[in-house]
Amino acid sequence: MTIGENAPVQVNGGLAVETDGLTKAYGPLLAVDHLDLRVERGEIFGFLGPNGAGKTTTMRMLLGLVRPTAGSARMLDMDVAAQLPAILARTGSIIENPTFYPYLSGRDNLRMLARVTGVDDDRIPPLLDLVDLAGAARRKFKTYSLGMKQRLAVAAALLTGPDLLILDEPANGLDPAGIVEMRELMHRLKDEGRTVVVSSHVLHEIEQVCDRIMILVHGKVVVQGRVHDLLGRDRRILVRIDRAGEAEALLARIPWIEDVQREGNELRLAAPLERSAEINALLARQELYAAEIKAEEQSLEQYFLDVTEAGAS
Amino acid sequence: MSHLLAAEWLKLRYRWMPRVIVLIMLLIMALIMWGISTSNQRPNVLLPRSLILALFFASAFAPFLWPVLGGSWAGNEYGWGTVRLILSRRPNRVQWIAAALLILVAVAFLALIASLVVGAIAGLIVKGLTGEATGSLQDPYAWIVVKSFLGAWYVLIFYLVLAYSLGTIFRSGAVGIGLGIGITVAELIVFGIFNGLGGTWRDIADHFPYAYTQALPNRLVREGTTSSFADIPSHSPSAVASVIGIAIYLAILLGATMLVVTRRDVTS
Repeated sequence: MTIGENAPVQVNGGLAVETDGLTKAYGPLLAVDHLDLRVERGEIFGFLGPNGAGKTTTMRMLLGLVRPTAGSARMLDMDVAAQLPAILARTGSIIENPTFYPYLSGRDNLRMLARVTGVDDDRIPPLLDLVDLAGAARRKFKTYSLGMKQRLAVAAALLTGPDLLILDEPANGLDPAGIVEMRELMHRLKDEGRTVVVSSHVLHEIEQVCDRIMILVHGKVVVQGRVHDLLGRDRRILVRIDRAGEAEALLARIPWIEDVQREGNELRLAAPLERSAEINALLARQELYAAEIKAEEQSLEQYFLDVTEAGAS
Repeated sequence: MSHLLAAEWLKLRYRWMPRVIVLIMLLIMALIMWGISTSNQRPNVLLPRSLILALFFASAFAPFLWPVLGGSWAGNEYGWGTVRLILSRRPNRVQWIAAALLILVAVAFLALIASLVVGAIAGLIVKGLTGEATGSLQDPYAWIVVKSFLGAWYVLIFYLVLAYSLGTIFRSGAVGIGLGIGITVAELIVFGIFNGLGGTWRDIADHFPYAYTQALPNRLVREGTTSSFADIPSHSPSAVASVIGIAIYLAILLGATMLVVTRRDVTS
């Protein structure tokens, strides 16, 4: 099944979401503080931050649920303030916990939304299959487990075959198999040329699916960029060596090694990974023999904690 | 707009509350008509007067029944969080409110049709049991029935809108229902006090929504029933004044609702 009823959108660069100085204040509290967000078409963009960082408020502003105090937003090359109906017709969303009419079945909730959005009912059965709810489609929503509710919300978000998906905690309540399916679904959406903006506290998943991320703290952007670059995957090297002090002194003099940090018999270098062999040779020439030289892998979780703690302070 | 109406209609079809409210209304109506049929007011339960009587009772119960539907229809959208489900897909908030209200207006219409059926059945049963002659639905009764129907519909709509507005403004079904009914109870108390005080106080009380929503059906039922059925105080608002008074209250309620809904952030 193709997620969209229309042909998959063309990925021709450009921005799917663009905000300039987007701000939301609730009295003296700045929930979102001059946010400049750029989401490229066809990418999976992770929107991260601790609770209360302003992620959901930003998503609500993009969807027209909350009015910005200042700034502007564009989605799919249209102005959110002026062309919201046209934008929402091409956007699917899940905001916070999944909400539906409790007295309607899963299928009837989708039928109701199909009427709201002007979509044909024929779209519903394949979507229920896709989210593995076909067997429970006639059960009332109020009898669903959290995972089932979340899957129904995913089906609802995909109902119009949107070009852009804004998903707030889509993995919330899903079991491990459901989380894997969600990851595969997002990859599939990307392969079809759709753009996904996702917020989640399951950082391991974000690390696996997102091309780029943004981290918000207290409504402000503290970092944004490619996951690969931010985690320094190609430029952080770990050297384990017995005479670490001598090795540190030697490597600190090498111009293309940007930073050397010693901790016990371990050295952490900021240097291109492809020059690992060169580093080994330099050490060996001074009769310093490394027990191990490898790429240092920093997890997004650790990076997130470092960044948010620094941002908060 | 038609898409939203279709969605509201689907919601209505699967909701039990409107049916329960209509059933309660019809049941009470039938019991009261049965009681009247055993009194000296029995001619009013014969056709075609029984139709007018049924519509009158539908109006009389309205302040205590229809706020339940209006308040919950609006407030539950906030309680369940479905307001963001809809508005994140169809952002036109005025259309969203209008579609919901139109569906409620349609429910009130259907409830009054059912009331007419109950009135007709009651009339036929009383005729069958007593053998008393019934009249025909010709002038002046046809026109009185039409006027009574429209008047009752208007009163039902007022109480639906009252509770819907309160449920929306306070984002709570419980508040919508509670205030929707509570306002009428408060009015009844103050109305009694002001009437007792007389003079200007009584004139003020005659402009209460309850005064208008009771005066309108009272005036209409008086036209179609025996003269002893409905006793109307001379200072009570006329039918025309009631229609205008209710319209002003409706305009205020709808204006406040639209203003709040279009300006407020959806944070539910």
